[in-house]
Amino acid sequence: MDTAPPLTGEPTLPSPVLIVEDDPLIRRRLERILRQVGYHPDMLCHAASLAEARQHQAAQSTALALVDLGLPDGNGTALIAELRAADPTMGILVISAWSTEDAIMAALRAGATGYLLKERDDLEVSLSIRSVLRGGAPIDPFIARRLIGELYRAPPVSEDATLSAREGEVLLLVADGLSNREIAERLHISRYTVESHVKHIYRKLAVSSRVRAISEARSRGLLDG
Amino acid sequence: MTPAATTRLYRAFFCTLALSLMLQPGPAAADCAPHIASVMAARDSGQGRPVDGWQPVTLPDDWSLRWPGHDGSVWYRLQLQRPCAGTAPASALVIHYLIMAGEVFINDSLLWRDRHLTEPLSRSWNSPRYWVLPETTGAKAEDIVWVRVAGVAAQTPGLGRVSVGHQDAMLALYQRELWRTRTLSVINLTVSAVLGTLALFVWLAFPAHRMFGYYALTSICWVLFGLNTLATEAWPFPSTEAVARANHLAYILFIASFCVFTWRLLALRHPDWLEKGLGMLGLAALGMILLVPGWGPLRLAGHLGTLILLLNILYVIGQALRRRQPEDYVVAVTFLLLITIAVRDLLVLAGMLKSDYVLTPYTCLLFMVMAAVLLGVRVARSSRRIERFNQELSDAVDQACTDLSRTLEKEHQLAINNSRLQERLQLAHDLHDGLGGQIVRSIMVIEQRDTPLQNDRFLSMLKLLRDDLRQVIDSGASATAAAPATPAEWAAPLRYRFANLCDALGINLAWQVPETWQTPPSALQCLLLARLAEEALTNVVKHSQAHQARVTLQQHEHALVLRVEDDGIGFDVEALQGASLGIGLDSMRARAERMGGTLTLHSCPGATVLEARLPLQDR
Repeated sequence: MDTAPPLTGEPTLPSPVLIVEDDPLIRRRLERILRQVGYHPDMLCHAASLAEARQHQAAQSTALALVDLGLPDGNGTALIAELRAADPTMGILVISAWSTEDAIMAALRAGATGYLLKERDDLEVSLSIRSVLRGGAPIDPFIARRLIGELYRAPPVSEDATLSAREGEVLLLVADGLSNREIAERLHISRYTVESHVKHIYRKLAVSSRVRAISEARSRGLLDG
Repeated sequence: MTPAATTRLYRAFFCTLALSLMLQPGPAAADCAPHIASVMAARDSGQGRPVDGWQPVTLPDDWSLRWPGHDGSVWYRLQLQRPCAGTAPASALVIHYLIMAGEVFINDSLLWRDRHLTEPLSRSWNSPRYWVLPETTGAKAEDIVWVRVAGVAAQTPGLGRVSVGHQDAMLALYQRELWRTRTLSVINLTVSAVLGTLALFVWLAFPAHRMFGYYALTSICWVLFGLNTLATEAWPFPSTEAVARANHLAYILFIASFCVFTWRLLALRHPDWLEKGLGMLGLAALGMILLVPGWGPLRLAGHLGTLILLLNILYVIGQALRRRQPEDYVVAVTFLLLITIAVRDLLVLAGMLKSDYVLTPYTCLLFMVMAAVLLGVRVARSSRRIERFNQELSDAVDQACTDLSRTLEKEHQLAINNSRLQERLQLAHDLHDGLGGQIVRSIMVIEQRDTPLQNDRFLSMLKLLRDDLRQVIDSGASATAAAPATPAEWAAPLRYRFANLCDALGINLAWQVPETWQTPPSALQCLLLARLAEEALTNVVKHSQAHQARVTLQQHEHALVLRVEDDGIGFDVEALQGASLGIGLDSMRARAERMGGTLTLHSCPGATVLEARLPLQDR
């Protein structure tokens, strides 16, 4: 059961999709999964390096980007930050290889809306993509635990970065290993709401990181005020 | 001072005075100046003024030379002549001193009298007296001044110098004498007392500053000794002799403390016997003063003390000059000055130098002030040293702190390196045990086959390897070799991942794990159980077509049991050997067995149960 049926009930798929991946094998695999999800090959663009991605971005806006972290001319995290700055609503997925939690957290802080573990089977990868397309965001218990430490228990750095009580609950349940459906049942909300909460949490993580970065820059005299 | 020396001393004084008197008035006035025509003396018989036994004497007079051993009173008869009485300015009389007590009459009227003329005698030996003489009556130009002096034979008794002259000159003379004999003493003793008291308090507050203690002792002994020059009565002592003993006692103590102080001040190093010997001499002198009756031993002890004092001054000068330190030079110069002044005064007294005054009374003051200055300099220097030491200390503390933090940093770095090394070892171990073993197994499976492997079997093998690798990475990334704190924490990652998968595929996955560990399993056991569950659930998701699945973790007394069951289509366990489905499970069974556990598999359509049992070690 390595394949899943095309998405049904999706009114429109966000397009075009930019795949920033230097390995042709992985790129082809992602294209295949995206086609299974329902994308037409015309909607898929690709870039093999940061430079190509920037070029592409300058010429044409993107609705969804899949960004590998280890690119020949640099780290994808920087690109994620640029894309996020250019378009606050764009869906950005990190393609993580054997990366550690730290790399994923860095990408989320830069503004990614989710991540794919590239060693996972196609089914799981497509679940992650679908989650993003539904307006949600993939998450794992270990990421939830990191987020709880960073956003929920730590003193808030700004109004925008403060988790709501419900978001905190979602994180705690994810950390305990409950599935989105179980969380939805537990909290009497829909699964989509759960995924949307996770997406908001990621956004707050990015805001919090930005605020921290700014205050850090100020304290070092790199910024005025 | 020997009687002969005393005589010389006063003769010298007389000469200088005579000189000054001759220089002052003009020749015409000199004829009019009142003067003493003659001086006679006679022993007192206790019946008023003696009638006979008068002998001519010169002043100053020491009757013990004439009448040795005579204790008691002697009458002096001074014939005054005032040639120009009535026309000349008023005349005045100055008695420079008398030893010890006395009374003065002019003609028949009493001019002045000491309080005590019998033992304990009043003490007038250091007090000049001054009187304006009454105008003579009629044409008589001659007056008789009667002086009765009470004294003891051993203390050069007698009448000192007597001067007559015009009032102004006599007043000036008197004031000069008063300054020399009393005011100077008062200043000398006051300064010594003040400095000594200050030093005493410094020493009391800082007993470690012993120099101040010696200085205070020296000053106090000096003041006690010097009080003799100011006392006008014998009180509180019962007799003149007792006063003399007390005075000698103070003198010897002063010399002893002075010697010790000078040695300590210069930090002189000399043989022990020297100090001990001097100490014995001092004790001997004290014993003589206190215990041996009679005047002779007393005087001997005094001379002994003086000798020690002079020798010590010479010794200190010699030592100080040898050491060539600025401070020692100051001491040497001061002491040389002391000696020089003493010699000069002796020359003056001997008449070989012409001078109206002597400087010796100033010298002790000079020494006291010099010593105080030296002490002050030392205190200043040592406090500067302390300040510098404090600075050095705080620098040293800073340095130590820096070193410490550097060391701690180094240790911290070392600890980090160590734990990194540990992690790498752990990683290598995990790779060897899990992934490595699996690769070897895969190789063997392929080698032992006669026919080429199908794609799906290859895929299964590679995915197994991938999942093993992922586990090694995850467990390495967590950097803790500790087992999860609760079963729920152990289950969470798998549970979330497969729950979402099962949700997407319409499988109802239930988890049953206990709240807490009864016997905490090892980290390695947790990893193996997680791998087992992952493999079993992967099979469920991929192959079972189940609607219900359940993961149960049970804790038995000595074992941990993991059950994964589903209601899927099931499979033939026997036929599984060698099939792609079986590769993972075979591998898991081998691993469980290596850890002393078992893995059993039962399957029929609608019920597949995988059960893993791992023994728990009591800790």
